[in-house]
Amino acid sequence: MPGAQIEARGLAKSFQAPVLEDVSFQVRPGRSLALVGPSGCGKTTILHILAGLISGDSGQVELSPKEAGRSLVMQDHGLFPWKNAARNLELPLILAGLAPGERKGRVAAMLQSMGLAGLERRYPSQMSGGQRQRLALGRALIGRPDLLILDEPFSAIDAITRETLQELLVSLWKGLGLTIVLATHSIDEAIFLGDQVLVLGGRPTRILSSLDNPVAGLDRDQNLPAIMELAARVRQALAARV
Amino acid sequence: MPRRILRLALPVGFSILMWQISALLLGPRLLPGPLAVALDFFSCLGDRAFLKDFSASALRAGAGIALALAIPFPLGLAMGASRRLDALLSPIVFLTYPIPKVLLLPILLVLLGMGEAPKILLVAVTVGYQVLVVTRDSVLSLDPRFLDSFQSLWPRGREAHSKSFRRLMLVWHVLGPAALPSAATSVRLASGTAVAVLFMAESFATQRGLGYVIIDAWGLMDLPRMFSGILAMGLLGAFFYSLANLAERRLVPGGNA
Repeated sequence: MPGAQIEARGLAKSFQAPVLEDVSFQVRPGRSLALVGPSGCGKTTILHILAGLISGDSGQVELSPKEAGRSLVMQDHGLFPWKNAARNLELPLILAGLAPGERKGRVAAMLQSMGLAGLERRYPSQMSGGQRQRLALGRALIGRPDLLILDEPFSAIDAITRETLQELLVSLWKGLGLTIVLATHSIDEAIFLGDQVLVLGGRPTRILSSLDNPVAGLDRDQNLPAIMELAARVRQALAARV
Repeated sequence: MPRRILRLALPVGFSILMWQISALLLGPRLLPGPLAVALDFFSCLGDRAFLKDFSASALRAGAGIALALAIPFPLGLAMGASRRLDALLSPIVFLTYPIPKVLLLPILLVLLGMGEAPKILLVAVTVGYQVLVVTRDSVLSLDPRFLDSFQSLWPRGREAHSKSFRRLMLVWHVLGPAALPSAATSVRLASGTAVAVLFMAESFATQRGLGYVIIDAWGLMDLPRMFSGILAMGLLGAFFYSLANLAERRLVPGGNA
């Protein structure tokens, strides 16, 4: 999986009121983009446009290659409570038309790589928040996408589990060469996970600042000064609009 | 465990005690005591004719409830999933919903004769209406995040799948399992009504079934037998209630929210 390239130009979207206005960005293959901004600023709308769930009122998103696979991890994980872990993982493969034998093998492998081996028969309601998030991540990855879209993936998880999952995501990102776009309202998370950090704000939402981040995915303790400096720039960009 | 037994034994014991006191006050010609009924009921369990009546009622109720799931459940899903079908059928369903279904009995008897069909159909219509309405409503009130989540799982080239295939997959993987618990609940709640309409249907136009046993014993003033029949019908209702409960837990063990 080489990762997809994204070119978003002039995205705008209104629901009852204008939500987005002139949002443009580019993500190179295998890189990650973190959208950071206050709750309700339209991050989810951008992600849903990227995932193809809704379309913008104007502007366009171009993926390269055109047939690039994309997967979305929803804010509240979007797992189906009536399906156990294995069945949740299997669903994208069923929709892709894979044969049962191949599905079984891929589900077993994904359970293993997500650290969920032995939990295949558990229902989401019987799993911890961290396990559910691993499952949602596994379900998004099992179709081998080129672009992984995550909507505040770790917001409802305790701090220690969150760090573990963030590191898991970094290792998947680097290991698989995926392109990642994620939304978060945590500045720390945006800096740890995004090669490029897009600060969003205003009404309707626009891009307030676009910051290159050389320390994404790197050891937090060793890069503390750079992280702090970047965090200060993000805060400044956010504060300028408030 | 002893606590659970106690929790069950207390109200049952209290009811039996009230029954016994009432029987003593009214006398056995108006109200037989619990012991007389229990003795008659146990003798019924060894009585082949009574067992045949019991199984006739059980089969009618079972077939009616099965029919009430086989057609109204998928129809409710389809109405929930298709706006066009819903617009077509909803007015008919909601206009006819408040009509007591037991009123259909004479019509069914005229149309279908005196056999099993009108009795089964009456149970099916009684339970089925509830299943239909509840299933449709639970699809319409489904949390939209499940729909978004499902849409997001289609692979690229999703346009390659026909619209009807995509809708079928949605019904099979999302709408159906999401609506099943509500459908099972409606069966559970309707199980008492199902047995009640079955009693009406069996109280005439047949010589088989617990309804017939009750009415026949009433005519003969065989009160213990009449009460045995009532007890057996009550047990039948309780059986279908528990079966729906079990089915709900077995079919959707993870819940739907």
